[in-house]
Amino acid sequence: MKEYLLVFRSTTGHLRSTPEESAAVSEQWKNWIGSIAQAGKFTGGQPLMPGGRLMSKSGITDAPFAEGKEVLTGYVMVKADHYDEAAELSKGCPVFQDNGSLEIREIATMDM
Amino acid sequence: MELKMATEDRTIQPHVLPLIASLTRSESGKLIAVLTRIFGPHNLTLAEDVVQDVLIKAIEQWSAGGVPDNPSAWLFIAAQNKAIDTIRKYRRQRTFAADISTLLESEYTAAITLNTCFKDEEIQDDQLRMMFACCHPSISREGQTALIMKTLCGFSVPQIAKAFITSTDTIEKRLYRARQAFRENNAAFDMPAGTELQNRLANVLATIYLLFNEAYSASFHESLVRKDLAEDTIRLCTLLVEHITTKQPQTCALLALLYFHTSRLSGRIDEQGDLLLMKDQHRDLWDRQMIAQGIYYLTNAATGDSMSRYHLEAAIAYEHCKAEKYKDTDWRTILSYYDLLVKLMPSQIVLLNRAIVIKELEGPAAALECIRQIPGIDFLQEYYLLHGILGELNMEIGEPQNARKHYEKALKLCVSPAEKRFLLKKLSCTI
Repeated sequence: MKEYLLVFRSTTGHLRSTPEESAAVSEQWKNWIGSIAQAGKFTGGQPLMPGGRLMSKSGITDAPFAEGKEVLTGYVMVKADHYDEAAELSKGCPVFQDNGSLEIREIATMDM
Repeated sequence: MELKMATEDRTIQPHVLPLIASLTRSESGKLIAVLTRIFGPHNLTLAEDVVQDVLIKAIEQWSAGGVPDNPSAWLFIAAQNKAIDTIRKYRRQRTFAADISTLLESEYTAAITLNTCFKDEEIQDDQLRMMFACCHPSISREGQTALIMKTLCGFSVPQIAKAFITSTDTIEKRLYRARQAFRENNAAFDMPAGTELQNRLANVLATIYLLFNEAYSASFHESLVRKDLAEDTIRLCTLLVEHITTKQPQTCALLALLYFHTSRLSGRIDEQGDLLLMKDQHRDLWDRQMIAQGIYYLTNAATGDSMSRYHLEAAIAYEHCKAEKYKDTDWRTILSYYDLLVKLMPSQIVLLNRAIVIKELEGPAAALECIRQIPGIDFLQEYYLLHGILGELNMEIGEPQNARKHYEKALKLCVSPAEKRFLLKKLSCTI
């Protein structure tokens, strides 16, 4: 079994202004991740705060996260046999309700 | 919980301490149960530490800012906050309860998973799971009782030591071994099912019964702890009766037995703190409400075709509660229950108790003969009650010298001050 990284991008992110909104969103994430965990295929993941720093050889700047632009909002790792299965697991992800996107990447195993 | 350290601090308001002490007894068992469910049984010590921290924080904050309107709710919120902090702190080093560990480690799901765990009905079930986990067969009987008293009943190590008339060192060692077995053998913090449930339930009931006997026996000399512990056993057994899988005839029978015995608890000791025999007790001090509860559960126990020792012992206790005066006691019926009990468990203690009933029906000589014929009565040579009874019977048949011998032996074996005083009184009558 392989491990896949699911990376979420959206324009609004998961952080909501009112407690009711954020409770409803939490519930959605819990249901989705909970179902993956139930199948024993959830291995971890964290949401990310908005903002950030962008660093390169030339220095560090506040990341240019312009209003309305898709930003990284979090990641989840799952176990699956192939991309199709990982995509199947990703179907219920709440990021789609924000019209966000989900990128699936297989985690590499490095040779010794 | 050990709160001595905190009392030395000058900023502690003294009125907060009795409140914390009583909340420790009523709430810490629930908190330890839910946190053990969350962190996993292998992290039992972590769960206990978190509860300890929450109680200390309560003392500090309530001393400084006043006691909140709902102190118990405050403790649960503080425990939930402390739980999430603890998970964040250790999520790279430790795993938590197997079924929810990955959910607790992710911020996407941690808070909401904790919320679900902290629901009242979940906490209710967690206490049951905790009971079953504490009564795992790999833990010694004395370890099981000590662990239940410590975790589910919120007693401190000195209180437990006092209760069992032993040193805090002994109790610490007992708890150390019990916790170790608890951590190693309760991989799943779950209610067993099927035959496993039956076996484990029998074990849980036996431990509650033993815990109650400790509370009821006069050797358990700290009277405050005694009454509290008796009420705790009722609380624990009630949890079992309220759960669909553990509400079984023998559970109801045990609860009935606990109610009948507890109803008489306050009548057993006079103003001087001395023991009163049943025939000398003021029956109007017996708690009628508890007796009514006992009757209710005894009726509930009368389903199915199994007849447990608890059924018979509850029936015997009921006969005593029913008699308005000592002389109204229906010894014939009691004897018939003892005869059934002997068939079920022919132990020397049961036969000894049966002999006391024989004394009421046929006199002291017949009772002495009964005791002589108990197979393996020598096993009870170090049991002070045997000598107490033999002393009494010998007095009654006019053998004061024999009586004296037995009373002296009983005195040597008995550890409780109240019982010693009682025996000394008896001894002085033999001259």
